[in-house]
Order: sequence, then C-alpha cells, then structure tokens
Amino acid sequence: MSSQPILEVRDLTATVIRRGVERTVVHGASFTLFPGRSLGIVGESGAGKSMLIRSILGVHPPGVAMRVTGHVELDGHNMLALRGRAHRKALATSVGMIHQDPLRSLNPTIRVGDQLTEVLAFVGGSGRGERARRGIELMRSVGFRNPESESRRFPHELSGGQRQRIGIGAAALTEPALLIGDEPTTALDVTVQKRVLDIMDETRVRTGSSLLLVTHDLGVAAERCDDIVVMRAGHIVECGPTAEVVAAPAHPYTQALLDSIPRLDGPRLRRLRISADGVLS
Amino acid sequence: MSRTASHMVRTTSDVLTVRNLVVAYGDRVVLDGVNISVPKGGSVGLVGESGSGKSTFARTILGLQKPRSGSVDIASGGADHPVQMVFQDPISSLNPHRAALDIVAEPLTIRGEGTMRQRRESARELLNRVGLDPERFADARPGTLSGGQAQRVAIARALIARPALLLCDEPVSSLDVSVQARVLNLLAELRDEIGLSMLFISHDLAVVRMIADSVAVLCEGRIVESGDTESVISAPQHNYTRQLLDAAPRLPGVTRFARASTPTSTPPLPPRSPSTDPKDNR
Repeated sequence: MSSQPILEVRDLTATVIRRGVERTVVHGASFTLFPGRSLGIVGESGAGKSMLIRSILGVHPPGVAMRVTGHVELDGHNMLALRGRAHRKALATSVGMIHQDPLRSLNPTIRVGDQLTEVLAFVGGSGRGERARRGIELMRSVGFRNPESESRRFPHELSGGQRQRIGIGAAALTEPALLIGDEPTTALDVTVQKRVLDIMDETRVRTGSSLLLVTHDLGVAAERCDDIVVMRAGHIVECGPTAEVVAAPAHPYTQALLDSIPRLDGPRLRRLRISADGVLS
Repeated sequence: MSRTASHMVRTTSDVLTVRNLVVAYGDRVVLDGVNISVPKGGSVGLVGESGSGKSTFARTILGLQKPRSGSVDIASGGADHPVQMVFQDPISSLNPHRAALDIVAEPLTIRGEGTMRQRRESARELLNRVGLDPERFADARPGTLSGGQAQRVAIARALIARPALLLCDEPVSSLDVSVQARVLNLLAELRDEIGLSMLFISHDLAVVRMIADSVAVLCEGRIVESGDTESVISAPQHNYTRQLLDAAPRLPGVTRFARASTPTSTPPLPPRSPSTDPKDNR
C-alpha cells in the first residue's frame, strides 16, 4: 500500500444555515482512503452520508448556505480552499461520481455516447473522433455488447441497469483517482445490482481508482469494501476494516444494524428484539 | 378448463386459491398460468423482480384487474372486504388530512359498524397493538409520522376490518433497515398471535423468509419454483431462484448455503449435486 492517501478527511464539520438557524449535519468526521482501496460509508436516512460527500467535494445544493470546517485533501488538492474553475477542474479530473439514478443525472436530449465523453471536451486534449472512439471503447468495458449502435440511444431507451453502467463508464472516463458511488444500486433489482457492482469493481481495478461507496445497505458495503465507516446522526460511530467491523462491531448501533439485516441463513428476524427506545430509536 | 376444475377438490382451509391465472395487457401476457394458495393462518411469500408480474398479481387479487382466464377464490369468512392491503409507500397510502385514529377507524366507519365511540375504541386498541401509543398518535397526521410509524398505522387500518387475508405489497421496501426489522417483527407477531393469513409480495427473498412459511418465485409471469421457504432457499431447484440467491449481498465471514459462485476468500464448499448446478437451465 502506498503511503500517500488519495483522500484524507480530518475533523470535518458541516453546518447548514437556514433562516439564521444553524444545524450541524456532520460532526468532526475523520478518515483516510489509500490508493486502490475501497471504503463504504454506511448509515440510515438522515445519518449525514450525503452531506459528508457534499462537504468533501464542496458541492452544495443551490440556495443552501453551509459552513464547512476541517481539512480535506483529495488527490493533492486542498478541497476546502478551492474555488471557481480550479475547483471544477479538480472535481473533473480527480473525481468520478456515480449517482443513484443516472436518468436524473444524464441529459435526456443527448445520446448516451455523446454525453459519456462530454467531460473529455471539458478537460481538453482530445478531438471529436478520438472522443467518440473512447466512448465506444468505454461502453464495451462496462458490458455493452454492441456499443456502436447502443451509443446512439437516448437515456430513456436504456434499462435502469444499462443506465447505471453508462453512469459508471462516465465516472471512470478520466480514470479519476477517486470514484464515488452514491447509493448506485439502491433502485435496482438484486440480480441487476450484482452485475452493476461487479462492473464497478472491474472498472475501478482497470482505472486504478479508489472507491468511496455510500450506501444504506451494510450488506453491499461489507461485500464490496475493504473498510467501513458507520454513520449515525452526523457522527462516525465506528470505522475499520470490514471483516473486523462485521465480526466484532465496537458500537451498539453497528451491532443493531447487523442484527436488522434480513438474512438468508441463521435465525429468522422475529427472534430478534430491538427495544423501541433502544439504540436504534 | 371445466374438466380440470371438476377434478379439483376445494380445500376449505385455504383463504385464497388462485388457479391457472392468466392476465394480459392487450397482447402482452404478464401472468401466465399462476397457481397459488394461502392456507388459513398461513403466510405465503411471492418473490420476483421488476416486471415479473408481482403488482399485477396483487391488483388481480384485489379485483382491480380482470384476468383473461383462471380463477381467484377468496374464502371471505363473512367479511365484506375479505382482503386488506398494505402498500409500499406508507405515507402516500394514508389520507394526509385525517388523524391517525380516524384513518384506522375508517373501514368500520364506512360499514357503519358500531357507534362512533366503539369504533374509536377499537382503533385505539389497534394503534396500541401495532406499537403506537394512542395517547401520542391518535391525533397525528400522516405528514408528521416517520415511515415506520405510518406503515404501522396502515397495518392497523388493514387489520381493523378483520380481513380474511392481509395482502402486503413490498411493505418494507422503502424503510430503513432498522425500521424494516421492527415492521417485520410486528407482522410476524401478528401472524403468530392472531393467526393472520398473509400473502407477502417482495423482491427480497431474505425479507420474505422472515415472514413466509412457503414461497413462490415469480419470473416473467410464471411461478418457476415454489415450496417451503427454507427448502427453496437452501436447495433451490430453478436456475432463476439460484440467480436471485447468488446475487444477494453476503456478509464476510458468514457461512451461507452451498452455492455455485462463492467469494474466493471463503473455504471450499462441499461438492454440489447435479440438480443444483446453475448451468442447468430448467
């Protein structure tokens, strides 16, 4: 393992300011991601997973005032200090983002092949023909069998799994140091989910990217990530190597999450007792 | 058809009997000869992915979709509305303008059963039964409830009419895992304590396992495999069932049933019998 981290987050605190009222949504988060490794960020609704990612990237929803303090170093960029074009350039070259629903992140009026290579035009250095060629090559790498014709389709003409594979291809196009999957398979059937996650793994090995996988599904994170961060109410309650976190969770919330996962083996859930006002309330 | 039907013995202990159900939208056949029965006090799971025909099946049971052929028999047990339904999205399935207590009492109100005081008393009992303190939740509007609380209200409303069959269509799919666990526990308790008959529709075999004694696997409108839940999960006979099981994420260090593709980090598995080979395309 290389000694230089791809992503280092130290004491990151994010506060949303709305009508003069301040609400801290991420409390002093710290973790490190090394090259070629994968880190799962797990938590339930409102745990602060998305806010953590937004704060790391410096991407906030319009009209929301936020104060972010701490330190974020991503692929050599001091993220909290970057502004404007320098900030966008850092994002475009160092980060590939895979969203939950690519139908919403893809432009419905542009053929998938064209928007797959859009970012190449932004970062510069390649002509139109070269971009088209790379787009087709990329589609083949994410499992499309006839990329020449499939690249001419519009996003709505593809299935959810196909769209998500396009999303992965687009995210990996610049071979970014960091791939971020934000609930990339939440809307998909389990067999499609497996295919998409397999392709995400293949892609990240091919490009040498590290992975930050945000998910509510501890099972998915545990299966796909080297390390896990468990979040609850804006706090990181536990982090560590996946095998250790799963085998011997240090925090009662992690234990309760593990106990809550419906399983295909072992006791049925009804033998489980979670007190209504216990750790999960 | 009639000859087949005459040979069938009507098992009176079944709450729901679906025979050779065929449903089509125009030329597209979405359910193709489905047979399912739910015994009284039993719980049956129906598993399938998007487009398998699960929702069409639910709609047909409720009488919202006309079958092309086949039959749906419901032993009503004297109830006017023998099937009650719990939907995936609890918030949007509840009237946002009504208080929780009125929502739960509504099925009785519609039928004009009892006095208003009796109806409200029954509704309070049911709120209590599903784990919502009536003192705190009776006046709550759906918009102020969490997903789990709203789903409890929906379950209470479904149960107040003492349905012969509770039809749950992905009832926990939109809930966080800890909330999901509690709602599943509640359904399992109700099944055991009041002998509720349930048809539980889900895309998730592990979720179905928590509730259902037996399971049917629906793939492209056909039941490809059915049987006792534990047997289907531990020894799947159909390729599609194996794919479903194989695709489910697994926790590291947790032994699962013998399956074809296993992570390389786990110890080798015992040899598989030919009938469970995934390349077998039955």
